Amino acid sequence: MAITPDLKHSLRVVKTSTWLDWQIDSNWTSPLIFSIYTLVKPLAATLIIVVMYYVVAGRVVEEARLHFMYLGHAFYMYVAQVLFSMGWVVHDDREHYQSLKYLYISPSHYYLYLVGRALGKLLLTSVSVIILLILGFLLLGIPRNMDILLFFPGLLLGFVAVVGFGITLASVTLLTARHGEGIGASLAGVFYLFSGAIFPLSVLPDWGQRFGLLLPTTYWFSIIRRSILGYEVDPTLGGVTDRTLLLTLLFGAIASIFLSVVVYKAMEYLGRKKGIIDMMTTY
Amino acid sequence: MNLSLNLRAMVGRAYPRLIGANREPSWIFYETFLPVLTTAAYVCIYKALDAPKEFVGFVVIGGVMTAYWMNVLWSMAAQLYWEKEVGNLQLYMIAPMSKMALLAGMAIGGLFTTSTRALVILTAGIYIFKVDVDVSSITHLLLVFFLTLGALYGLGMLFSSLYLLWGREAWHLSNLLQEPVYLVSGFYFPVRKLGFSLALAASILPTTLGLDSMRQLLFPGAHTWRILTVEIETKILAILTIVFILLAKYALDHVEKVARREGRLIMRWQ
Repeated sequence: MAITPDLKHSLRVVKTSTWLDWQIDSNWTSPLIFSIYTLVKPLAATLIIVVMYYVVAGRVVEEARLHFMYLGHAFYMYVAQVLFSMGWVVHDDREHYQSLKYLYISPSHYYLYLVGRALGKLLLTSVSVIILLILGFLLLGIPRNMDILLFFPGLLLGFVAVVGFGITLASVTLLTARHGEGIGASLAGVFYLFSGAIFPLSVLPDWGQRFGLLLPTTYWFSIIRRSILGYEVDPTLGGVTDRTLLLTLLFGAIASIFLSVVVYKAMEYLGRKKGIIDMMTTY
Repeated sequence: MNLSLNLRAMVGRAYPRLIGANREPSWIFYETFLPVLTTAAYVCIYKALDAPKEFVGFVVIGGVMTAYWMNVLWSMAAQLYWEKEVGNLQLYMIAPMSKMALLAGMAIGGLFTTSTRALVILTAGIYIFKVDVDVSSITHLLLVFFLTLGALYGLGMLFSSLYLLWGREAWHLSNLLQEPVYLVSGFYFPVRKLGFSLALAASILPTTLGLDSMRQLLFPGAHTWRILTVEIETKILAILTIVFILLAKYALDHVEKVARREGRLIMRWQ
């Protein structure tokens, strides 16, 4: 397939903003401190789950329920980090660096810039997730029945879905004031609760399960667990084949990107109409 | 010290936060409804594990306190860094009021949205998650709660002095101090389960003792997992409040001098 000049330009925009995101996130300190920083937060978040399990069960090794929670939580880091950061990117550009207006009038499309920023978060989070997986395998005895033909396509489709949700959130923040930094973390709670990330969907009431089945991340977490553990713990998705899961996730990923484009265009239009694309809020 | 001037400065700094909250109410959705979902997720973990009923209550109280911890980190500690970056800090510095009054104003202004969030989580906990609370002493509970907030905001003021000197490290430190603090303070589980020594060491954070005391006062079964008695914890919280506020005053003055000397006080986009 020939690469058209437009596509080439778009790829360059994505690549540059990914690099920019990496720089913003990493060059504020020495590589050693940055490495510790990258590890401590996700490790602590995952340890909360492990400790909660330990407090109730009294043990943590060779426990299937803990493996379910651990893996779900480790991969939930992608959702949490991308949403947390993407909920902040627009405010950061607009009010902190005051560069949004320059980015906006440059030939690069701001949507593609946001794609690159989200990819930067995925890249950074991957470091933490890989280390969490290694720790899980070594210390918690998580089985390694790896099915890479299921894992990698599933992982990739999940990334697409997560990037779509991240851009949707960033688009909404084009209209919101900076009241705090919690908007992304708060929204991530939706996926934490309804995607079966850390407990089976069957724990939720019927309406919660039905809502959960609308989220692509539900299928993503299931695929990830099946491809690593080799079995499904959640009875709600137990009867669904791997192929069906992948196809549903594919559909969900496309829907997520579609949603992000629609929301971006709507928010951009409203932001320009209201004259708040480069507003400053000093609350 | 001009008390009237500082009180006016405090009101002046609280004002934009209160007005801003009314002028652009998007926060109501993501600061009230959405955080309930995260708390609900932790409740569901315990339900999935068939944990004792008190644990659901522990999570709800932890969820309430996350609102304040987030506010302290982002809207107190990191705020002077933010003011520096957007160009307001020099205006504060040339104004005659105390920087402590400015920070107190931020705290009071931020408490409105934060307390709304906390209240929604608490209400959801009681009515949706059916948490049974049995308050042994409402006076003591309120005392512990306000002492915890006092110590917490004192700590926030102390952090803000560090953030005055720093660049992007400030933002990243706030980001870093979320989950690790949830872990060591036992926001979602009784921290005593990590061992008495660790729990005691974590008690340097006001949230640790505050949560432990509030749980003891709200749930009779919580005594099983307590770190210390409520009376001792209350005394320690009172000491922490005084120490953190005094340290904050000292640190603000000291760091301001260092930042002026090194020319970093209003250096932006580091």
